[in-house]
Amino acid sequence: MRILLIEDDAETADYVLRGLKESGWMADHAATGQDGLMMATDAGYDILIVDRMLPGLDGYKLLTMLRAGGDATPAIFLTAVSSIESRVEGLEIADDYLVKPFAFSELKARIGAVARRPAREVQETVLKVGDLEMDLLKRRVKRAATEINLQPTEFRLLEYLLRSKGQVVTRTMLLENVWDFHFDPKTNIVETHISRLRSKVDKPFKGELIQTIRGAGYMISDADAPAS
Amino acid sequence: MQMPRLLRTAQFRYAVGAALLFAFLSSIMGAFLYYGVRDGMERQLKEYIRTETSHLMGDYQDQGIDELVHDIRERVERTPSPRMLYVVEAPTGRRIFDRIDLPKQDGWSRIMREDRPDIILNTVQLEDGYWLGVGAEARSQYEFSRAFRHFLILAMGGIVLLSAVAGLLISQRFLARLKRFNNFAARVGEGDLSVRMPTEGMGEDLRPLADTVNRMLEQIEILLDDVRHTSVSIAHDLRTPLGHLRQTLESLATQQSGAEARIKCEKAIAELDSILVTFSALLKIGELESGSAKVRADQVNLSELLEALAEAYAPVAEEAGQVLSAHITPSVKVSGDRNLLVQLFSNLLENAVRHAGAGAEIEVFLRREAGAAVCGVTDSGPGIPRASQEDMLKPFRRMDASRSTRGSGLGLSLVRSIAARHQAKLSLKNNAPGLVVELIFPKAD
Repeated sequence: MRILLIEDDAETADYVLRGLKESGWMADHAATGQDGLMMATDAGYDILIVDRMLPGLDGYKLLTMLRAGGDATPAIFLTAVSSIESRVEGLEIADDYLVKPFAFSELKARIGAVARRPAREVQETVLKVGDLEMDLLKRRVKRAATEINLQPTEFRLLEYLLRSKGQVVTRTMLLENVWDFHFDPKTNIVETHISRLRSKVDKPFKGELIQTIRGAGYMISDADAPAS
Repeated sequence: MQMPRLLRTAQFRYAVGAALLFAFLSSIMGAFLYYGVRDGMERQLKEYIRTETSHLMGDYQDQGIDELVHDIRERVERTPSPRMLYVVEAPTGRRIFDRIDLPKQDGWSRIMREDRPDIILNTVQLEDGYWLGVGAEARSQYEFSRAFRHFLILAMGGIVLLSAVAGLLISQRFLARLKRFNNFAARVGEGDLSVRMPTEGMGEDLRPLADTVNRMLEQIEILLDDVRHTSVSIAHDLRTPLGHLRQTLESLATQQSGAEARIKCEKAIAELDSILVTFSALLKIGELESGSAKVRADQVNLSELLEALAEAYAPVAEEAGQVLSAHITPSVKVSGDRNLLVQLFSNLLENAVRHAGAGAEIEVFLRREAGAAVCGVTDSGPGIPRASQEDMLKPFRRMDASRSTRGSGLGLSLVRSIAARHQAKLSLKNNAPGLVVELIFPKAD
């Protein structure tokens, strides 16, 4: 996967580039909006990571111009300001929005989520991992032929994990996508719900599907469970 | 030449101006009065003289000049002084009786005299070159004029003098009040915001101004106090995690094994994250309160929003040994920013979970009341004493007991800022025991 980082702050750029390369991705860097725009139009990238505030041509204008030219490359905004309106506005043209400072694990998880997005255009009605099955139409969950009764929030949480099967999702991603919280709550709301979900989905059965990824988040996969 | 400040005040000038105008108008009135009375007196005197003259002329025409002289003599001898004045002048220029120069012309004349009353004289030409003059001293007119002039000088002088004194007094009083005002402003200028403008003895004209200035000062003092308190609290609240961070990094610098170092690093990152959370809350409050952030005005289904939050927090409360219930009227909608409203109610619920203690009952409520949406969170925890309830809405205010627990102390002030931007009325009430945080959105669908 080829990623273009458009970021004027050298230190942030170093940090992100090192992380991207360590994750096994190819990454190029542009320090100005103009350069970024040129590189993004010339070479085909899979993902753009764009700083919102750039000298000269800013990130928002850059992306607007790209989109106007018919370029639909997935993009993630990086921004130092968590202004209330700018996030909403930014999400109208970008696929995700990350407020600085951020942990690299957060960015990595989001790149993963954005990268697999096009594949999801196929309307799935049944999500599966291991012997767990979620029927989105009937809104039912079964594991090893046993019906599991879930609360609406638990259902949404499991659905999000299943859609990102095999991928790390961070606490922030869960807050944003399951609860629609765009701030950091002081209570362990995510942990509590994950532990409840585990007690229903994992505990009564053989093999753990929901895994905690230390320092990053959670992941659902069948690595530790027998296939159905 | 610079006039003394007292004489340059507007008050003084008005007083003197008014006095001069009054004096001028009084003078005109006085002049009318003076000449009217004087004319009347003169007419009366002339009438008298005319009667006397016609008596004498009657005798003269009947019996000649000798009888006229005889007549006059009789009158002069008979009437005591002051009497009328008579002159008979012969063609030789010899005058008898009162020796007054006669104008050689028929009719009235006036003989002016220094320091004595004028004489009003009626001259008649007789036959054979003789002249008769009958006159009288205009004594009463003279007295009147003198009296009037004295009165006028006294009155006008008095008026001008009095108004000057009054002007000075007013001016002095005004300057004294201005001086108090100025002294007061100077003290405020030096940074003493606790002084208040004296309202006693300010007079009804300046009192409203003094009241307004005092109210303004009070507001400024409260705001400054908030700012002071906030910056002290920021320093205080950030010092603790920064101190921990320093300790962690220090021990990391002398650290041994990789595994231990990793744990220390993670701890340091967690400390930093808590600092960053405080900063972003501060930024958000600042943004909301300065009005620089545009708040969306979407139709938000408050009932659904609260249902979802109640569901999200019920397990959290349960884990803390509490019971969370919801009493929510369905499909109540308000206008606002969904994300901000989520944060508002989530802060309220987190406060309840964190401060109400184990065994507490927490309730999320929403009901319609006369076109308004009344909603909020109640708990049966220790609550907040009435006296500090208002205080708790300010940044970094916390009950002393909760100083040690985690949290930025910004939760409720963020709630207040968001509520204010949605024109919602926020109040804290006693739940006996516990706390009710209530919000009233005045316009709900």
